[in-house]
Amino acid sequence: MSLIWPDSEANVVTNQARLHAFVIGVADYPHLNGGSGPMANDPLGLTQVTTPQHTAPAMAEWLMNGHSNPACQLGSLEMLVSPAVQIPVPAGGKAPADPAKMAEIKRSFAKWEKRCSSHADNIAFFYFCGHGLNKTDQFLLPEDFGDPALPNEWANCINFDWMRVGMRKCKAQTQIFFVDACRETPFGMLTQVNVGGDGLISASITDTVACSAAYYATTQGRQAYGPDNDVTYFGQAVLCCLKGVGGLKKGPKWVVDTYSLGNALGQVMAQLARRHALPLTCNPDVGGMARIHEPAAARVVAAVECSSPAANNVAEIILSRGATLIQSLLGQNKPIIEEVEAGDWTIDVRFPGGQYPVFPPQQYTFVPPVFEGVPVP
Amino acid sequence: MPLVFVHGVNTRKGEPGYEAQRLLTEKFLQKHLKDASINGKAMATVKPRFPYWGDLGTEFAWNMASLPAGQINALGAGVEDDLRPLIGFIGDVLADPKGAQAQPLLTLARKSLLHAVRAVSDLLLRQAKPADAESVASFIAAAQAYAEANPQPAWLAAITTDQQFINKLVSETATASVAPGTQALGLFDPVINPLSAAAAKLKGAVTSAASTVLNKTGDFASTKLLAWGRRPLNAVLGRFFGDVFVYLDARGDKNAPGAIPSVILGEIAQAMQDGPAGEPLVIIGHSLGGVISFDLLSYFRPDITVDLFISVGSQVSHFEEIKRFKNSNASIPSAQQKLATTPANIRHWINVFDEVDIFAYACDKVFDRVRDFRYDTETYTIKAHGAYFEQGRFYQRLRARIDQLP
Repeated sequence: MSLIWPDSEANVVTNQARLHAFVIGVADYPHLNGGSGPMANDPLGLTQVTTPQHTAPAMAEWLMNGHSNPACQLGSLEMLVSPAVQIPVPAGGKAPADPAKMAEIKRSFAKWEKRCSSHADNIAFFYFCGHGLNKTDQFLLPEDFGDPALPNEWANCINFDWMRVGMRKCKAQTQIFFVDACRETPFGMLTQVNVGGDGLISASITDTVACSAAYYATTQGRQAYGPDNDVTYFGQAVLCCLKGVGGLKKGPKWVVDTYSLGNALGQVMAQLARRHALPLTCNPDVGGMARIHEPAAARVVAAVECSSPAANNVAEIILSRGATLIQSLLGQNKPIIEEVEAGDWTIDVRFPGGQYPVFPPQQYTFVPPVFEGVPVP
Repeated sequence: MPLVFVHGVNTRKGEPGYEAQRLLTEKFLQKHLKDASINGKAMATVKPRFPYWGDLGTEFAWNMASLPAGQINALGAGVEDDLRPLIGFIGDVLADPKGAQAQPLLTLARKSLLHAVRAVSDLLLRQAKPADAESVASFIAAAQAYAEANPQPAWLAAITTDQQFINKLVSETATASVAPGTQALGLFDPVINPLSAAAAKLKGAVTSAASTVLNKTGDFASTKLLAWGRRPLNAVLGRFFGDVFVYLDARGDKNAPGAIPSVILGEIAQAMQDGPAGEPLVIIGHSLGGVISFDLLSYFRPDITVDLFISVGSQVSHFEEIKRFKNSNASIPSAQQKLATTPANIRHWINVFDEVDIFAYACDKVFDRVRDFRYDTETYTIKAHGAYFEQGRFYQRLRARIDQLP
């Protein structure tokens, strides 16, 4: 089963604008290093990963329970995950997601694209988390990538660039793609003369789309990371931005749109890079404005530290807002990097050893996406 | 432990592989020499210093344009000069070199995993960029240890391509590339790319070699390769003699040491100063580095007491035979004294040589108090000279010899 929500194709709303999502998570690669099947002729230095198994369900959970866009509510969630997982659904119980093999991806893609094409105001929402490669084009690898039984080593492989271009044929005029995958070029890939992959859909020169936004988990040629057995850092950043850090005040509402999401993702990934001391980046490629989500409230990633490492070493930093208290005492890590609600906060920097002058607590207004630093000492 | 490693000829920082080779040597020394005892002093810490004098060595005004490049070279078109000896080595190891064209590394590994690892190590070190040096050095050290412990792993029978072999070998040796607890949605080890490039280069060279006159004779024996590989051999010899002449011409004297002695003596002084106190002073000299070290200890600074001097693939005895050291005594040998005297400030001296290494000389027929140590690098003529420090087995044997010292 690949349609997770609603419970049947008959219940998918197609006569009104809806967001139709297709989420893929691949954490089982039998033909790559450490896999259970026959090894690919060239595994390209790729091995088993765990993060997609956590990232795809987290994205599904937000889509079903967190997404809010009165003009374009969630219309359907198509989902494939390897190894198979049970996805909790709002009505209670769980729905099984089929494995993310190439044949299933082709079938699910066709169904998803058809739903997306049912209304011009639909939002086509695509999220892939798994291994990726880049050689001029971006490739996304399904579970059965590298099957040595096939004469074409690239048969089981999605050519994402072709897919994005091909989606111009789809009638949904807002198309949002998340590529939570690496963008490296392994040497073994360079030695291949006809790397192709499957674009899943074709388009003609007359096909156009009003808004096509792609958000890549890393810049070209680099790796994307995640903590073992948890959501990828890019996945964490996407969810954090959708939940309010990517919000802009538009009239009475907070709105996450395609451009604000791109800016916020870049800012949040930079803070995650500081927190985890990893070379985290991201690469938003946004063409066109569209409203994705209306969070109930704005949120901010606060990154607070002193102006110098020497001061950090002897400082205590306390952030407070009403009853909420966040602190990094003497000997604890700095900067403080936390996602908090937007609004007025008090920052109190103290030097118990008396190495720097006493500064009275200061009031600051935290505005999305990021609040950074304090000017002391 | 104050340990100073004096490099030999053909060592240039600007060339690929310098940093990876240096790091590999450091890792092996730290692994195998730790806690050794010399003269009753324990080597609790092993932090080698590597004085670099390559930038003071010889330069070639026409970039070795004088090397012959005529018909012999044409016979081997398509195979890079410096790969030819390696191709010959593989041919020598395999009973059917022609059958190895499709998957040369895997074929070699099935015959001898250690030889395959050495071939890969050789290729990696040739081209390792400074940015890859750490991962390359870590991989080579780990892969050699793995191959020695698992000479015929079962997985070799289940794979069919060179690329599978590389991936499996890296998986098995598992040198972590990302911070603990973090995983990448991409290559699990950065060494995969340079390793794959090396394997592709090797495969191309093996295929090209198969179409040369060598293949038509059906004989890859190293003797024929001596002719085929004349150009790389000439190049090595040219640089060797060039560096020798530069050193002899510009070494200065005790009161005014030349640039090369000054660099090395400065590093030795720093190593002694950094200590730690109470640990033995060890100097390792490779090739001309051994000659220079001996000259420094016997003439320039006889006041420095070295607990152990290790010359490897060196020409110390050859230089003494032609009386080129500052302290050489032309009257030796004589009826009264058959052997030259090892300077008193060298407490112990181990000299290592491979009989295949044409630049290496035995010493115990020329000097007293030296312990010669034959070591088979299991490589080929040109490669042997630089192979010692790439092999974990070398350091194991060296440690055994150190432990036997009185």
